[in-house]
Amino acid sequence: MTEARVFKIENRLTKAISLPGGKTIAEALRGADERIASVRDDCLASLLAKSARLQQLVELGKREADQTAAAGIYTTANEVFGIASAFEMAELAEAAYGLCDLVDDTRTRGAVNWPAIGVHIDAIRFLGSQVGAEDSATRRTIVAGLRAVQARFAGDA
Amino acid sequence: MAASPFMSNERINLSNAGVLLLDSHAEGLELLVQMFAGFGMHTPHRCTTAAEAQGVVRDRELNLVVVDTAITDMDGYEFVKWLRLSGGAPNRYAPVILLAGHTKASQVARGRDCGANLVVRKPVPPLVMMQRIIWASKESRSFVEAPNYCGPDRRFRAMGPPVGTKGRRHDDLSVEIGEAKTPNLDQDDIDAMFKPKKAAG
Repeated sequence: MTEARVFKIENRLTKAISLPGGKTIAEALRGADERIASVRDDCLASLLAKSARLQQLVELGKREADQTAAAGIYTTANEVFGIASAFEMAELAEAAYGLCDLVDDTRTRGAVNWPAIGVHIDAIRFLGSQVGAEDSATRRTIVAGLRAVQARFAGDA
Repeated sequence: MAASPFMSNERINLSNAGVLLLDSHAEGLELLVQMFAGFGMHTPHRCTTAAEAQGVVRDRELNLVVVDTAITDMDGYEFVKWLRLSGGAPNRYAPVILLAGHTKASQVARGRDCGANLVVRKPVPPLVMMQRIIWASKESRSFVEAPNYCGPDRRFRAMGPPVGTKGRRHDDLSVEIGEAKTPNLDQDDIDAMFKPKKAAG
């Protein structure tokens, strides 16, 4: 068996961030919050395009049982989760995460449940169109419904 | 509002640090770029593919690498593995923060085993990213090079070699404990090891 080599290294990040100047951490955090807020609208606008892409992919998947459609849905749902969670859209983030779970399970089992995926995508399209809307009760009800679908799907395994 | 874990006068200078940001998702990359710009960084190396990022690793000196796990042409775990094995010094030793969206437990282990310093689940608000940068800057673990692993020492607790193996390090000891060959230390001897006193005379 080859022996592992264990050695100390210089942490060049320590040196770089300790140079004189820069910002206090409070200033840096404030600056980051402001910069992120400045791209919020663009990011949220992209959710509509991603929802439309999910719809195209699920239609393709239902029609042709296409595995690349499942992979595309996973990637796009992961992107939706990234944006929704960054901007504290809790219900949309949960729906997108649940869709990732569903597709991931599907890949493992080798049998895609297109109807369950379709229900999630319908929910994501609705939740994505609710940016800034006050009606959180409806959103929570939708997410509760998705959890029931996931539980049912897990029970079928 | 939660209390800040940082001291009010604590400073960070990222203005000229070499930071690679790799994310294939356009909006995800933009969020990272804006966050680091807010932190005071002037020009991060922004990449949307692993191939592009490999070019940066070859051409620039990096102090920090931030990688999303979902990269289109090579997943983030594979990219970090490549960096550790083939990235060339000094960049192969740079701290790596791996960002994961949808995460399963098996993928967290993959993050640790590919050679990343830290794996962070999304969402990653600025406070969390800042903490991880500070942690990465205080990283004191040794670096390990073995045929199947290259990266920070995963044995950060002194628990010996993995269960069921003899260990591959020259200082790995057997799990079997033999008979004592010398008398036990008394408490004064033990205290002296922790609090040495000046020798008289």
